Amino acid sequence: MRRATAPLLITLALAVAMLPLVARPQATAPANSGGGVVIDVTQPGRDLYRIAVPPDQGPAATARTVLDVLSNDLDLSGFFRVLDPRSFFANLAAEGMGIDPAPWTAVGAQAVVKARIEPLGGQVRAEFRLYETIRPGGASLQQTYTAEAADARTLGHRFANALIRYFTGTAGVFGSRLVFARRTSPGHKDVFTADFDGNGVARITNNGSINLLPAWAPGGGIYYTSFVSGQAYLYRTGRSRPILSRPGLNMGVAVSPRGNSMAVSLSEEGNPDIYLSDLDGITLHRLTNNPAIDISPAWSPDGSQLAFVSDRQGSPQIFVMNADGSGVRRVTFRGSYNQTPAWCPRAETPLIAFTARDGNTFDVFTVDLRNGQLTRLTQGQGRNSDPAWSPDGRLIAFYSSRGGIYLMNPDGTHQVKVINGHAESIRWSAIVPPP
Amino acid sequence: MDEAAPIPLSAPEPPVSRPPGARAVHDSDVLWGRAFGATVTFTVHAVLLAALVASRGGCSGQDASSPPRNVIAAQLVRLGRPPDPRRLPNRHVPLRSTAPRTEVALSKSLRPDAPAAEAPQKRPVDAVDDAKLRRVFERARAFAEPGDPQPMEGSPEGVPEGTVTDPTLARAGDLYATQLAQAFRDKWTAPTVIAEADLASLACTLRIAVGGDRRIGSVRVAQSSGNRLYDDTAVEAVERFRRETGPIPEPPAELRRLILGQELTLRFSPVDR
Repeated sequence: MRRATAPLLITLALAVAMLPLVARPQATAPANSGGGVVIDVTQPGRDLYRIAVPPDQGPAATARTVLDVLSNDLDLSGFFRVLDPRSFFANLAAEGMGIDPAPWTAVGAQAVVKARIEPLGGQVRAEFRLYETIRPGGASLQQTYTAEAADARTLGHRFANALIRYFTGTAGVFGSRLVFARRTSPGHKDVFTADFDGNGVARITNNGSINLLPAWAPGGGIYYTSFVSGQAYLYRTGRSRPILSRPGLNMGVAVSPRGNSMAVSLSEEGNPDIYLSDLDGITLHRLTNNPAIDISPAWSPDGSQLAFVSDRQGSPQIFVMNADGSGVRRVTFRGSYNQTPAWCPRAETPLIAFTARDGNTFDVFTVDLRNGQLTRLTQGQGRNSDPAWSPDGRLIAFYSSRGGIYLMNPDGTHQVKVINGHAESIRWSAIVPPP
Repeated sequence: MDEAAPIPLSAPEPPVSRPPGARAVHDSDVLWGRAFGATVTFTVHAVLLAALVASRGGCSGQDASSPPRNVIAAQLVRLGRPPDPRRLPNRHVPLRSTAPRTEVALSKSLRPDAPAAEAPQKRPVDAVDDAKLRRVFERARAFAEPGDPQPMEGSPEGVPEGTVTDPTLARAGDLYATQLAQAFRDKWTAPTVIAEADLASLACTLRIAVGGDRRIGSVRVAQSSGNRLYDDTAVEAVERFRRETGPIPEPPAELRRLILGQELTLRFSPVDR
């Protein structure tokens, strides 16, 4: 018996030792290298960044204009919710150019823009500061600009661009302009420009004829096709003689991204084809040679390819070809009437926006060149057409029969009307004021 | 509560207490060939194992009847595959060491009168005894039927360290952690100035101090995501919690000293990893 005792005792001891282990399987605390309890927080909500732009305390009426421009830009950008100033209860007079975060946090502001805008001779000087309520101690961003009193609006645009760069890494495009054609009276069309926030709509042509299909020329000039001489000739602002006056149609210019050549549709051989030309229309190189209609060229951001519209396979569809006319391929395979291609200027998102007819209405779509995926951006809200990308590819301008030119995000969200009235053939300038 | 039985057993005395005279009986003295001794040994062994299993079952039965406990340590699902319903589970006898465990012994803090910050008791390592115990087990194994190596019963979502086979059981373990994570997530928003594509790859870690009154003290970024704006959203979530909710939820009694007066680590990542 004595000999059996040892294993028995050992077994008993083993059982005693094991009991706590077995009975409390979850009695260990999760410990990482730093020790202590670790909690995983996942799946944040998504929201616009809430920013407050309180009114300037100075007397200048210009100050209000500048801050209105800034607030409107931030709103149009689709990134920010500009808080209603009526909710603010911070003591602005006591704060001056600094902030006390508590009253701003209380109204939900994640950041506050403080501005001091004052006349300086014939000029206006604007000092802006950005405060993030989460970061104590000083402004996160501080800028001072001066502008002629007549150009005071650019002060707001410039700080808006600086803010967009601060938050996203890429500057905004506020202050860039749109060009478009508009029906001015029955049988007449003229070319107009405007800031993309709708300010400063300016009539470029006024010749009692039909002026259409405008396009930005390098340096801010505009190409357009006019019937003023009775033929559809291509003109450029600042020049009295036509740039291209070939027999038939001379229209639909797209200047290459490098700004040293342009693609244009000519129909001197009966049906429109796409040609490559210098900026003065002197040398012409034919890119398409097809009995069908080939129009509406649009450059890829690197200038190596062109999108265009062709009905060579029966109905108007979007095609893509190399800049020398080789490698033509069709990119839209749905819908019976696809036109007005506009190539996204961001090389990392190879999208072409275009107008597609759906029944008896038109809507704006994009096609992804990587996989042919069609995305519908507008639906059920009138006829929507003529998309144009902003120079940074973050917004699309388009005309809507809801009553004017609208802006939207490239996924079709946040549609905002910026310019009232009819418009067609919208193009967006790549020229942006410096941030 | 189920701590009544385990507490005396986990008291910090040496696990193998040798009665006087036991030293005289050396392992080699055991007459292994004697059927009687072996049978007694194994029978006692089996009876004790059965008792262990029964006590475990009793514990879980008590758990089910008592109010749900918030336990911060998750039970991890073991890596494996769901069991084939036509087959019975394999026998599995784990080898255990009696060397002192490095983890915090929670059972100490379960005594209501125990001081919260008592350091875990150190026990001397007795390697000789360990070796003996291991040999006993090795021998006991001779009686087990050898079988083909079978995949571990578990769940495809499990981890190799997992201890339970039922995924629903495992999730019940970390109620308090979930409660805390949910509380902070409710306050967390990432502005759309951070593009969706960028967001998915970001993660940052905060260390927050929790006072004895459950209030959040200092907050610092222990590991940045590399995106300052993103780090700010995490800090803002904690600040909002502090501002709008105040103290963190009351931790269950056995977790108080892991939470109160300690630093918690919060990992903010948009996607579950």
